[in-house]
Amino acid sequence: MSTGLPVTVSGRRSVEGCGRPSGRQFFWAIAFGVSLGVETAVLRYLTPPTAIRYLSLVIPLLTGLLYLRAMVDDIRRQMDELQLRIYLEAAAVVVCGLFMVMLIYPLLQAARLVGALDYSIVLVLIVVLGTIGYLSAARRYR
Amino acid sequence: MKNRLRVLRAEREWSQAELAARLGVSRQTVNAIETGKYDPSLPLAFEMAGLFELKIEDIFKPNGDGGGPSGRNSTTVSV
Repeated sequence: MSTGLPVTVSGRRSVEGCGRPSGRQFFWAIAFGVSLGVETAVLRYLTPPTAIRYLSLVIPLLTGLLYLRAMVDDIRRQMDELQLRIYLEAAAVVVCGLFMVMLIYPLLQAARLVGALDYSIVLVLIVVLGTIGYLSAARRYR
Repeated sequence: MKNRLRVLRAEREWSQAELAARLGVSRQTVNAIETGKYDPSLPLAFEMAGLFELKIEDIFKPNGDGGGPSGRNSTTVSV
């Protein structure tokens, strides 16, 4: 099947439009978001039987895993190597940053500067550290 | 690592976008390599060598003027 994209010397296809999520990734991202929202609403406002409660937790978990798989497939198939490098550097900043926070947090707690560690703090940290790491790496290579 | 990518590209009157399409990478990657901000992977270096019909060492040179394999640990011995 011809894609209309130029073929490289070694036969690799061009990565024109790289970094854009595929339809499959987009679909699973939406499915994950929707199932997460529905599950949250169900657990908050309804009291389903225990078995159904446990079973319904499988749906966001499954859609999340499928989203992750689609994302990794997209990265493998279409991501340009510089873009991948930038993502990896951002991921390294997130991992190292979180590790440092995990080490420092008990000290801050002991000093009574912060309260108990909430998972929402971790979520915010992942987003903030990821953004900092991405922007810093992207700036370095441009 | 220094490289002659910009010169080789100019000789063929290719734009960065055109070269990027031929190599299967983004234009940003070509720009980052040309400006020396990013060293390409070995497969991409081979891709470039194949495209320009040159050896890799004809395109890329170590920063230390070619003393050692990477130019980092090269030492000049004067007798």
